[in-house]
Amino acid sequence: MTPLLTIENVAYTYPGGQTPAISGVSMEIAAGSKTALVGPNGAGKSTFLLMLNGILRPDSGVVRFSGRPLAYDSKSLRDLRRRVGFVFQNPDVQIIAPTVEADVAFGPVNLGLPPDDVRRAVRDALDHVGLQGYEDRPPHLLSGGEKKRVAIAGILAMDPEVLVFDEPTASLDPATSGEVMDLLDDLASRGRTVLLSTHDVELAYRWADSVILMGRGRVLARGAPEEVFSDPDLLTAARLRSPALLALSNELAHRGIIDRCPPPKSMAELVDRIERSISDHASDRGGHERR
Amino acid sequence: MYETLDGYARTNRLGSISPGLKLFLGLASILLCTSSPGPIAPLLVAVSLSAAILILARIPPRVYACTLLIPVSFAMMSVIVILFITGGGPVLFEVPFLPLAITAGGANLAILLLARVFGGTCALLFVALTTPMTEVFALLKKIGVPTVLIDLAMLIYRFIFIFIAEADQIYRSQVMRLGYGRFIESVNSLGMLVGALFLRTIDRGEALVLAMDARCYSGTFSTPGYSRSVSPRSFIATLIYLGTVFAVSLKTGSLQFI
Repeated sequence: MTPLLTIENVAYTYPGGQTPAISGVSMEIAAGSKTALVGPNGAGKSTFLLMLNGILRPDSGVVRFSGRPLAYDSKSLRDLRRRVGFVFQNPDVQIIAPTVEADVAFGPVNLGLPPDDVRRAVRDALDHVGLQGYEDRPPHLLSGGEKKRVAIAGILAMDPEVLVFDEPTASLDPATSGEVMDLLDDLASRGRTVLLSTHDVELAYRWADSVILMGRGRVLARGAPEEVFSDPDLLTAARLRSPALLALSNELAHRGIIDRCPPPKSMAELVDRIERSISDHASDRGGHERR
Repeated sequence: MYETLDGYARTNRLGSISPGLKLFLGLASILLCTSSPGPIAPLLVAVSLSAAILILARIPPRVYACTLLIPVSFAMMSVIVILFITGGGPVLFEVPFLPLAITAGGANLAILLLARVFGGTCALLFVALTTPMTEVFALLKKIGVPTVLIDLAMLIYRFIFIFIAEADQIYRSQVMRLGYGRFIESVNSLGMLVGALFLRTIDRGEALVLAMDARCYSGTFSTPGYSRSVSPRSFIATLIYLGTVFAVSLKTGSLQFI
């Protein structure tokens, strides 16, 4: 399968910056994948993501979308941004219109859709994020979670193939971030490619099918989350910690209490495995005694 | 949350009335107030629209009084000046040792001006307290105001609240570190607040351009398209009201108080 997004040896230094924000970054994002970009603060995650829809232009290196290098004239950029939707970390930056409806309609209207299609796109997007009935509300009267949903709906209304989220759960309470992650799962299951940045290893471990570990503007490792997060030296270098669930199951496997592979993705799965291994153990011993 | 006029405009009891009708009533009342030759008609407007604001729209009296006090206190100050500098008619009062006097002509003019300002302000507040801005945008679009102006107004409206929130945040973080303890510190802190706000405004402007670009901005902003129909009953009631005020202003035009 050809990757949807290919990044080759990209470097970028902010104007006036002393050190490059990212340098020598190469990676491939497969179509339909759920990728998490994990790294500490200042690793260059946001800088990198801003390159995927042409908001930042790399100083050197190439970004390819469906095999073709990005062009930076305004027409190509518009086309790219329709196909690669970007949800900002702070919804207050992204929400620009005085009502929820007007804001979600912003993208479709600028794409030149006829009014009926705009209305349908807005309704579908609001349905998708669960904000029916919020059309006339002004954004300053919404909660943080609601604002985040409006920001996501505004991007969904443009029906992009790739969705890029910069720290989607930053400053959300656990319940709301859970709901946002469910929404991201739902979007990915409908064939969209979803990419997010986070420093929450727990979240990345549970959600992603591919993890890219970044640190100091470079890619440190990439692979399945259980591989990347099982390497303690790598995580220490990236100023991160192993997800508790993975650390626990690795430790249990190390002591021979459960089988090593494959690592569990949820608490329930881990408990099931422990239970199974205990009952296996008990039935083994029972067999011995009978004999 | 901030107590803003917009907040009341959103929750008042006259929300279901067509914004066009409310705007028409407000503007027509302002015109009648400013063109009335006597003070009775503007005072009638002031009393009746205040009653509408307080009783029909259920705006808390304290809020209404506070908002009204700001423009009216400015008007009072200018009226005092007019009271002294306008001549004509018999002298009613003389300031001892100073060449200042109040004449009947000056007094009449001062009362007329105060009544006009008072009535006009009430009419303006009637619109401001009962019509949410978002509905006004839709109305402006309907009557054919250039899109550029509406887009600009919508952006400004959106950013007013972000601006308030940012200013409040900076202010709080200053107060938490005892920024407004003494007078000289207050001046210092206020300077810092304004400076930080200015920088943040520029940042926000740049972020806005990015946000709009990221969503394929091509020069069009969407305007909410919903509208409320004017009920014939309320339309006729408005016309009767305006007609009455107009008749009163004609009848009482020559009436002088002093």
